[in-house]
Formats: sequence, C-alpha cells, structure tokens
Amino acid sequence: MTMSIDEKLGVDKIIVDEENAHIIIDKQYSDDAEKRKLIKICPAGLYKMEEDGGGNLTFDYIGCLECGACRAISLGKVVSGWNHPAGAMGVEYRMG
Amino acid sequence: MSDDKFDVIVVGGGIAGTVASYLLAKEGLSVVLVERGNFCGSKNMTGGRLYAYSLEEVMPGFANEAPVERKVFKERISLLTMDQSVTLDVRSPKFAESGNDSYVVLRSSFDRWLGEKAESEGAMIVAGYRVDDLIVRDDKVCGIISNGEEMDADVVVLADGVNSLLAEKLGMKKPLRPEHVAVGVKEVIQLTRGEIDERFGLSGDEGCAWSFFGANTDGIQGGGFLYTNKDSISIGLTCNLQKLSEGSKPLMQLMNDFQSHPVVAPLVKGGNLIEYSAHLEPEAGAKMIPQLYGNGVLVIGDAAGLTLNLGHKVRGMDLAVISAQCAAQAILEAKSREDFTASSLRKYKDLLDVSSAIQNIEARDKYLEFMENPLLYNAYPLMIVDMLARLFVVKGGRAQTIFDDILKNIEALGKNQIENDFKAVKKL
Repeated sequence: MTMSIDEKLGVDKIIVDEENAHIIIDKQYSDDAEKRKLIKICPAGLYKMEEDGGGNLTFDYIGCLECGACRAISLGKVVSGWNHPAGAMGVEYRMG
Repeated sequence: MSDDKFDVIVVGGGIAGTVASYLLAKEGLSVVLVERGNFCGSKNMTGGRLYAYSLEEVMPGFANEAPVERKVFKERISLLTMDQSVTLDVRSPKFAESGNDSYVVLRSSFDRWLGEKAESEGAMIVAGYRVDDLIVRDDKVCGIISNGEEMDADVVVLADGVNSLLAEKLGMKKPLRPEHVAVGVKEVIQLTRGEIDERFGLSGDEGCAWSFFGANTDGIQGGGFLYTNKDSISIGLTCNLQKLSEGSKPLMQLMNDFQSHPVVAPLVKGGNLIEYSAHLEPEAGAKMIPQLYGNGVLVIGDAAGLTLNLGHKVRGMDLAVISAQCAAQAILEAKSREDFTASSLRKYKDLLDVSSAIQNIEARDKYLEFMENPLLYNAYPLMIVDMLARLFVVKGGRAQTIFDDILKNIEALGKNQIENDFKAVKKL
C-alpha cells in the first residue's frame, strides 16, 4: 500500500503563508527538459505538467518542504525567485 | 528586538548555531540566536545519526540528558538489485565505547534541547524571525535586518544551513551547484518498541543504522538509509541532485519503490507515517567550502558545506559541532582584542584547518571522486548480489564453479573497467 504524495504531505505540519509565495516560477519558460527536471527532483511533487497536454508547468508553493532542490537546479531558468518563507511560516518539523 | 548592540548574532538554530551560541554565552558574551522557524530544530532534519565525539567534548555526558533516540549497536549495509539482496550485519561492543558512540536523533527535539542549553547559559533565542538581510557598513558586517528591524553585533555567525542565502548575498558562497548536493527525503514511520526490537534484533535502547545501495536509487549516485528511533523508524533516500535530474524516475517514485523492495517492505509493514521531510545535503567535500570568514562575519555548519558522505558513514552534525567550537574560540580571541576584522576572525579558518573536520574532508576528496563512478550504483551491486545469490543455488546439471561465475561477470562488465576501478580503490 503506497501513500500518495498528498497523503504524505497531509501528515506534516505546515503553516501556510497565504499572502506570500516564497518561490516564484516563470510560467513562460519553454524548455521542456528543464521542466521535467523539476518534476523529477521536487520531493513534494509540487511541480506538475498540466493535464491538458499543452506542456504547461504548474507549481504550488503550499506543501513546500523548503529543501532548495528546485533552486539549485533551476534558479534563473524556471525558478525566477526563491526565498525562505517568512519567519514562523512554512514547514514545522515535529520529528526532523 | 533590541536597540542594544550584541557581541554576537547567530543566524540559524541548528546544531552549529545552537552549539556556537552555547559556547559563546557560557564565556559571558551577549549572544542572540535568530531562528526563522518557531523554535530551534523546527526546520531541520537528518537521516540521522550523530557521531557523539565532538558534542561530547562540548557537553560531556550529553547523551544522558539530551533527547536522543537510540544508541547505535548494530550497523547494516545492504546491496540491492530489484529483487535480490546481500546484507552485511555488524554488531560490536566497540560501537558503544565512549568516543566511538553514535546516536540516532530526531532534530526537532534534539536541536530544541540544544537551544535550551544555549539559553540556560544566557543566550537569547529569537524564534519565528527570518533574517532578511545583513547590515554592511564600510565593508564590514555589522548586524542583521529582520522584518524591517535592525539589530547590531560585533560578529554575525551564519549558521543558516545548506541554503545560506545570506552567505551568497555577501559573495562568500557561490550558488549551490546541483552536482555538489544530494537531495534527501525521509519518512518517519511509527511502530511499537516491541516491533522495532523484533524486526531489527535489538533490545533496550539499542539502535540500528542501515544503509542501502544499488537498485534503490535506480543507478543514481546515492543510497538509502534506515535508522531506528525509540518507537519509530527513519527511512529515506539521498540522490545526487544533478544525476537525479538526468535520471528516468522522480524522487517520489524511487522512495516508494525503495519501500516496496522485498528487503524493506517487511521492516515498514503496518507502520504509520508520522512525518515526511526533505533536505539538501552538501556532498562535494573540500571544493564546495566557501569563504569562511570576513569582516564581522563567519560561516559555520552546513552553510560552510562541512559534511562528509562516504556512503556507509554520513557525517555532518559532528562536523557542525567542530565548526561551532572553532568559530566560538576565534570570536572569543577576537573579543579579547576587540578586533573583528577579517584578519582577526581568520583564526576560525586556521583552527578549522587543523581540526579533524577539515582534515577528514580533505583526505576524502579522492574517495568522493571515486564515489561518482556510476558503476557503483548499478553494475557492481548487481554483479556482487548476483554472484552471491548463485552461490546458494543448487539445480540439476553440471555445477559451475564460483570462478566460472566471476569470470563471466568480469567479461560482461569489461576487464579494463574493473581493472581501472580496482586500481582506484587501492589508491583510496
């Protein structure tokens, strides 16, 4: 029995900053290979290809585990802005 | 926040930051630790095992008081193919001897405890504040800016982790390169103490540390890990980020496949997931160590790239402690001279250079290069597991000797390749 990524993230405590996205992506960025990299490396599965077949990347910062993998891979390409969430916001590990 | 100027501001409440704060506060300096999470440890994760020797020096007997999970008595290494495995199980009283001991920890509680130790020595902890920027005047770091408020200090210690945006901003550290880091994911899975003792052959507070290589990373440089906590297990994978991005499977799928492997599935069976976490890990050794000191500033811990992943031994927290010790000593000496310029704080690097932390990292540079060999993560595990599996097979017909088997495998892989790799091993 394998849990889906949404179920896994569901057990985490994440304090969502509704006002500010700490990661901004460039939706116009057109290199598909770059998009596929992000889909593979994000441990939270937040980078997805839109299901309409148009090859558009979707991204949601809610659920981010703040690892920085997308920043290391694609800053200045798909990832146009990356910061840590504001103080007291974001994931709060109870185990770690 | 306060208008007063502090001796030291430490950014980040991980192992490095809390230990540095503890040491400095203990010597009477005014220390503020600023942590962006709601408490020290809230943003931190490890595989994870802490080798005790360095923290033991700072806080003798810490393991009796700190929230450690289990003391490691048993080490296991497995090589995996999709459906086969070879496991080495080493149990030794040596692992428990003082100075050799290591502990499985969970960082949320462990770092919080370290933060409290720093507080008890007089350090002030300001949690829930992200340091947005540093105050730089006349080319000297003079304090921090958080939420629009400024706070001044003679020295700012950057202990803000692998993604130290502040060290990058100062130009001390280059942006992380994907080939220099691994991304790790971990699940903490709750089981009863009895289930853990039974599944891993443990009793009391004994713990097991287990690493896995081969099919579980789909040939990507990296490996799996499993550590036993008191009443849960920490299980996960690390993969070189560059190789992962070029690979064929998403990390999430590798993690699921790993847990479905016939060796792993019975270990996690029936357990409840209680946390899913992820983190980057510096893994390029000496070549990713940044500029460590500047006017009014030092970089320590993961922010300084001080980790050492040899596969079966994964170190970072012990090195974070050493860097905190070196930084604290350098700052105390700088304080006695009231000179916080780069040339005064350079003492930190001098101390670190002669410490076991840097010496071990530098000594391992060749090893780290060797670890980049892709055959280590697919062909070799497959060959070894396959040969050992065939050792136990009896079937009709003329039996082949092990020698026939070895020859066949060597031919399949290419004799030159193996010769070259064997030479590389001898040089390590």
